[in-house]
Amino acid sequence: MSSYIIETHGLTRRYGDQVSVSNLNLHVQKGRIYGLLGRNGAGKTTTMRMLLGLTAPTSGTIQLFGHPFKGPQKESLSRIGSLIESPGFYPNLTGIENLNIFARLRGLKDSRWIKQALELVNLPYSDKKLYAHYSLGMKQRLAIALAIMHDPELLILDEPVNGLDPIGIAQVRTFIRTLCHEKRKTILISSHILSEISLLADDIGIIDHGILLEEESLANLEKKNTRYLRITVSNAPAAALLLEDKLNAQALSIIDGHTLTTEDPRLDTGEAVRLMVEAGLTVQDVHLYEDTLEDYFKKITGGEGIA
Amino acid sequence: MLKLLCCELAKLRRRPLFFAAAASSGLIPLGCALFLPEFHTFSSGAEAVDSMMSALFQMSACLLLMPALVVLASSLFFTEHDQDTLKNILTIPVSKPALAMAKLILLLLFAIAFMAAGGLINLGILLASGWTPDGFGRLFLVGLGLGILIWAGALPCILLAAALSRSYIISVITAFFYTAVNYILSMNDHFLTQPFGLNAGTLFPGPMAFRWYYQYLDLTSPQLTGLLERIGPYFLNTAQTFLAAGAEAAVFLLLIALVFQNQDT
Repeated sequence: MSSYIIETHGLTRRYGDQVSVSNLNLHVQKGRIYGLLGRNGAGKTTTMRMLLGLTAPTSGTIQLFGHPFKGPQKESLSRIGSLIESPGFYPNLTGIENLNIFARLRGLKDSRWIKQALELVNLPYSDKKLYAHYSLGMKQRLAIALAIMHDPELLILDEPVNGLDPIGIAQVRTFIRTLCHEKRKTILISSHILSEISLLADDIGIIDHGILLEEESLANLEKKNTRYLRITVSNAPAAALLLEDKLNAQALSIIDGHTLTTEDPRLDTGEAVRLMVEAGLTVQDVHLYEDTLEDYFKKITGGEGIA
Repeated sequence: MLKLLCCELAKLRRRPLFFAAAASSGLIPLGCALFLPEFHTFSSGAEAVDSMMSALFQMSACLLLMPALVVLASSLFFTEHDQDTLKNILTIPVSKPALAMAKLILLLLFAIAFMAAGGLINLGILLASGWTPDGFGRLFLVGLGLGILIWAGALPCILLAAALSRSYIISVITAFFYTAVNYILSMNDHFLTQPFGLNAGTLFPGPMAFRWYYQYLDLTSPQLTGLLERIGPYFLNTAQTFLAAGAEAAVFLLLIALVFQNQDT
């Protein structure tokens, strides 16, 4: 049996000539937060919809909890909580009445489940407010409550912080971390907000134009990020020669007459500055730069930033 | 299915359209009692029962219940798409055909309740007016049966509304057009004088229902003798009527389930 909670092989979804998801091989490990990162329209939602049986794949296979998933099956779906796109509820009912409907369909007889879920997302249990009068943030929280109400092992959350204010975003982030690290839930979360994914995810999948370009743990991605030293000096070519000659500095690039960079990880910055000053050069600025996840995203998608 | 049905009922809370449709069940009985001049000139309780129930069958069932069912069906089906709740239901998982069946069964119960409420309001009016409700029980049951027939008859229109568009306006127009066509057909001798079989007089709900319930009304009135002579031989018995309606309902339930199944989520 596979060690992955979610595993896809060659998952593809076409709409006519347009390929929404192409040959996707996704691997989500148990008890970890997997961040699916991509621009709007990259194929994140389609992927999640296929994992939930809402959209049939054109080709490819899905394994959930180690078993083949072929369309909506109770055995798998009862172990999953989901939030796909925008929250969907009946506007003429209160939040509780809405949750009661879905709880009854799930066979949850005890109202304690609903109460717990609402407490976790900070929504009042006895609120008589109709869903139609909820703010966007409240709607999003109610949708998260619906996803966790039946205590699922796997959560599939599509852009769960959409519409939340900064405090709400921080609360949801903490809440997702708690679910994963304390309650051992596996979470697949999609976002086009890089900072959210970098703050939350243990593993990251970068999807662009329906293709999964990279699938790696955040720790490994950080290792791959480029670090470089940028020096602003009175004479950049002379400084480059000096550093190469005296410190055997590698990967030096002269940007312009006053700026040079080096990606040499061994270079002693203090020694470099001392040598340049002793050689009569005026050092105006020395700064260590490190690529962010956004820089990495730009690099591998070959395009502009994500948002 | 019971769980689904209970949930469908729960979704109707604070839905003015549903309550307006339910309240319209009392419209015809009360209207007849208040505004029909012959209401005050009945010679017996049996005649009063017959007249009141006849109005209920011809007007409440055929002119109000039919469009109400189609408009309510549109609302029930479209809500899941409009409010984006379908994905929540499908990921439980509940299949689309099961959901569609629950909605249609709810409409069947509504149709029966609509006719029962109309009948009971009639009974209340009769008793309040001092009439002995002779023969009411049998016509009350005919009313319930008519509710089922009208529900089965509304299914083709519900299919059309579901298949053609997700627009409420088009559903309402379709519902009223379909109701008018059926009402006209049920008044037309050509459709009322066809034998039981694969013909418009049997397959269209208007003439079929008329050829069934009319035989249970008091037909001794002189002005109805001519009509009785013409259509009497073509009356449908209960088995024929419900067999035809059941077969039609089965086909259209299947088609509605298929259409709903194949619609985008």
